[in-house]
Amino acid sequence: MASLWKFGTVDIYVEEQNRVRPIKRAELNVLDAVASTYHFFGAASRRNRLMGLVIGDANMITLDSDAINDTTRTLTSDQGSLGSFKIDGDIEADRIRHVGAFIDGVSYDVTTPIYRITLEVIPVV
Amino acid sequence: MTLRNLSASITGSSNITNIQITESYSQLSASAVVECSTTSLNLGDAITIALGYDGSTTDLFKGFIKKRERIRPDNIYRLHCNDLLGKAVDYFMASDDPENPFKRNNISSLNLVKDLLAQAGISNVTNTEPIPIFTWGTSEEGVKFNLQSVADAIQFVAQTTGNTIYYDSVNDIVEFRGRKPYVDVGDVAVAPAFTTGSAGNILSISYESSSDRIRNRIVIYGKGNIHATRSAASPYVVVDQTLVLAHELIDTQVLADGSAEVNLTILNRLGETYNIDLEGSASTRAREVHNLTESFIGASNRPVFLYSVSHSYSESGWVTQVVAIP
Repeated sequence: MASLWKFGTVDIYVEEQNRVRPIKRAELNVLDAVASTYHFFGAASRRNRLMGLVIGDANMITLDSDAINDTTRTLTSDQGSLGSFKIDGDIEADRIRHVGAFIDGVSYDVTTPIYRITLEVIPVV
Repeated sequence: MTLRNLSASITGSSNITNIQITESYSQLSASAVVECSTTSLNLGDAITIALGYDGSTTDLFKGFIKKRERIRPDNIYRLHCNDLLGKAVDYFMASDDPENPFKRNNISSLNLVKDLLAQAGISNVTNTEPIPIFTWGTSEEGVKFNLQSVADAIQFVAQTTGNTIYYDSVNDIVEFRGRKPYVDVGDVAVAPAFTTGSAGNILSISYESSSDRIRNRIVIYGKGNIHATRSAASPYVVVDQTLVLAHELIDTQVLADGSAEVNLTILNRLGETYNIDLEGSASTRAREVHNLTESFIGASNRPVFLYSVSHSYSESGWVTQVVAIP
């Protein structure tokens, strides 16, 4: 069974996801005032961080390739397509020690590498 | 709590991340540096920079692109700009014939400045001659300029006569005025007042008084044996502090005397300075007079002359930095 989340065609079995939307609002303090003055400058792009499992070296190589080539891919979630995204920042991948795994109804033997990854992606507006 | 949306508008540019605008009494040409990720501007193009709040902006700078940088990894353009008088800085006077340089006879300071600015292609200059009127080039040899920039030439004329030159971008005209770099008789303060408190605008302030820039003795050396000296007592200095102006273009005793007197008036005074950071204000321009009230510094509705004004606009907010002289 395929994962619900995909970056392009790479299945990511997402365990956690969070998103950050930095707002650029400066706080100024007028002398002797009793409240701050705020200057709204704009907002930065939404950043999505995905933490989950990627199965097999081929998928990891694809993610690496997308990152270093600045490739735009469709990010698909359990809610459907989230639009076009690029990988930003570091791809962190820790290989999990296992003696066989059963993920989403599919069995993997000990020879299949499984990675726990943290991936940050930004939308391409 | 006060909430404002920053607004900035720059000719042919968008995704603006940083703007710095600087204008000063002592700086012939106002300057600006802009950082943005999109621009159609190239070297020599005209640029207008407007800042404001909530979609309402005021033009604060008009000039030309002098330098254009493309910067990675930030992927931004950095544009360096000067106002109209940047032309005077760039134009170097070098006559084809060294025996026949730029020369004028019996010419007033304003007309001399106009003719010099015309060398740099600047024609929109005030017609109001500052008082007192000085006359240059009364000898047969006249007043000559060569192998220097137009900026250096006109600033020499301005300093000698106690005047100032600047570009008024609002009215698109170069001004040549007897504006003194401090609050003078007859000055009227304009809004906004600089104050603290909930309706105030001062973010930080410092005050200093110094004798460093006091000159209570002025010595002028002109052509040949022409010379003039003016001095006056100063309660702030422990020994006479002298300014010397020496130039062969000072070719009459009247010019030497007038230059000594006007420079003594300007320079023989206590060097008081306020350094003030204000919440960004488009109504705060160099050479204006505003009223200052701040209890710790001890100023109560005190008029101050804005010697320099810098606007800093970024995601850290819009701050107007002012050097003010009472």
